[in-house]
Amino acid sequence: MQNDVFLTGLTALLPRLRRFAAGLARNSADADDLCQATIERALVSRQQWQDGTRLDSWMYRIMRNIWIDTARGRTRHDKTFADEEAGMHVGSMGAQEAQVELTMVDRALQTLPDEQREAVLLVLVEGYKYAEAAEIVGCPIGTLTSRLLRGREALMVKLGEAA
Amino acid sequence: MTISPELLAAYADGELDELTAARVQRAIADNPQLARDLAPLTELRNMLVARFDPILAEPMPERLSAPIQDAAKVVSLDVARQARQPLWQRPQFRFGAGAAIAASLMVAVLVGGRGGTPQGYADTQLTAALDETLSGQTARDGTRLLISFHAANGAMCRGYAAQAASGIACHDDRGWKLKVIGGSAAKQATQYRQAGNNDAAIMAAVQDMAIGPALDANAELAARNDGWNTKP
Repeated sequence: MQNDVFLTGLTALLPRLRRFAAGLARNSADADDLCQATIERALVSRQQWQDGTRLDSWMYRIMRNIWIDTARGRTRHDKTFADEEAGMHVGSMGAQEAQVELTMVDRALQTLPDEQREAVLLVLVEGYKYAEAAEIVGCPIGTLTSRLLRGREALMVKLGEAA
Repeated sequence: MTISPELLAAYADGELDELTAARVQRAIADNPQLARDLAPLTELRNMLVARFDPILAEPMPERLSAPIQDAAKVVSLDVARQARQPLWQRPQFRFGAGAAIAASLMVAVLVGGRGGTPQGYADTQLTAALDETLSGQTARDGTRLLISFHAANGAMCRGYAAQAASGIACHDDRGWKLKVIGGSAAKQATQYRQAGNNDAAIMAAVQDMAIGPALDANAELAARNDGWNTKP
């Protein structure tokens, strides 16, 4: 029975895990690699998950930890270009600019320190309460909110005061 | 009422209790500057949501859904207690993926006794990891412990994944005897993928050896306190 609950829950979480991975990773191939590694780690460690506790927080924590563990290997080649281009496209909200707009969001996110990026994604995209996000990251709630605040301010500047 | 940036952000994120939220709402109504400060907070959330929410509707890549579908067959020790067939006759080893897993495992012991440990047994460092570290955790030397279970002869066995080699070791009165040794993490895959491949191979081998369910966290703790001599 526990098996069914676990696997059904995992399947239901897949789209959200993919969305979180897309925000963390550098590109969509890396994002799906991260997602796959998370699923495999979860399947192997499944006896560590207690039935009745939240599977989503547990899965997000695994993904976040794998991402942090491999962070040293990542490069930030996009960073150099982000400021300049973000400056060029301030306020562009027209339909033909939509693609550029999406790229801007990605690039602005890439310029954030890791701990600010995950705070922004968990609260603003994944919709977690501050306390839940802090638990996933494994930090005090005050630390989480200050990372969120700094990350959000940096993004608003980069994205031209939110266009 | 003075509204700090933190308080305004918490209001935008729906984090405030009713009373405080109502106070902030009144302050915003009285102060146009606060309303102007609030707008970008909402805008940013909208931009992020517009960027990432469409991913929810995308078709799921098979490489993400398939491992979960296979999991009931491959990983669950409770369920897959079907008739024991020789390894090479099992369905999962007649296909490409299974064959690759089989090839990557050498079901023979070839690690010599370094540092005075008996031939075919875990060396001092690995022994420390197997003795002390619980499943799901990583030992000081980087060895990850995957699972604990009982083999047919009643011995406690543990699956582990290390940088140099992954495998299964079973406890007896001479130490941790190495039963199944996988290769070191292959370099052809990306960083994220290496761990997963080896883990899956070890788990498949665990399924062949185990006679009952894997130990849960409590049972494992008890087994560790018992010096890994617990019988099934």
